[in-house]
Amino acid sequence: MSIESELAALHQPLLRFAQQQLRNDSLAEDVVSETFLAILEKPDNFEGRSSLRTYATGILKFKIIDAIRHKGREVHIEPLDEQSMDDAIDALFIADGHWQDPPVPWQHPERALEQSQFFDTLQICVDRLPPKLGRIFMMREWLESDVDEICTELGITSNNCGVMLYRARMQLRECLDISWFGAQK
Amino acid sequence: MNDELDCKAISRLISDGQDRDLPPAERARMRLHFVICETCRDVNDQFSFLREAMKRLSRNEPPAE
Repeated sequence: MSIESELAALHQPLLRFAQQQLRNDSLAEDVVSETFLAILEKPDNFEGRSSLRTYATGILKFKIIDAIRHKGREVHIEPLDEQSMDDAIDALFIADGHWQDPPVPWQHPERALEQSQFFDTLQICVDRLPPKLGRIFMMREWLESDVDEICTELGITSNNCGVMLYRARMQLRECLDISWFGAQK
Repeated sequence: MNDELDCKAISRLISDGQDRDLPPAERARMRLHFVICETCRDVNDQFSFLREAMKRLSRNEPPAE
């Protein structure tokens, strides 16, 4: 199979991948095109690697990071309203700081990691986060950016950054609890 | 233990601990809380699991069409 036809087969999956991260169709098209161009300009770099899919995904991630950074500068990320975030967290606890509805342990979480349906559920839960929370959480966990770097890039205070990541994790914990681990019982 | 942190404060510390090294005193207070609170210990496990799952998601490649 020629590299062109292999890339053609990767086009839709990579595009969807980029759209999920960027939430901007034309930007997603751009980063996928740039990825293909980078591969086609230096096809020798790919030789000897196990999979074009893996190689292309690696390049695409860097392009997505660049696009997010660029967008972060252009479009100022409004910090979420701290009051509403606090209220949502407050609702999980009673007045003395104990859990309102104490979380229970998850059964066999290691088995979930072996199931592709679990990752579909995780993706759905991430997609359900408010866009700003989803973006910052993905930068932290998916792109594995340093938290200070994220705050600087997005122009928000480190406390606000921490609150947003906390809120995202609490919401995802709850979503997985309900959508996966609760349903497994 | 009058300086005991409550579950709400602990859950925030668990999250912060994933983003930065907690000062030793804070870390010790969090671990003390885990000794006495099974729920927060479970939540700590769940946050760690979430991180691991996100890493695997990041290694996941886009699915074939």
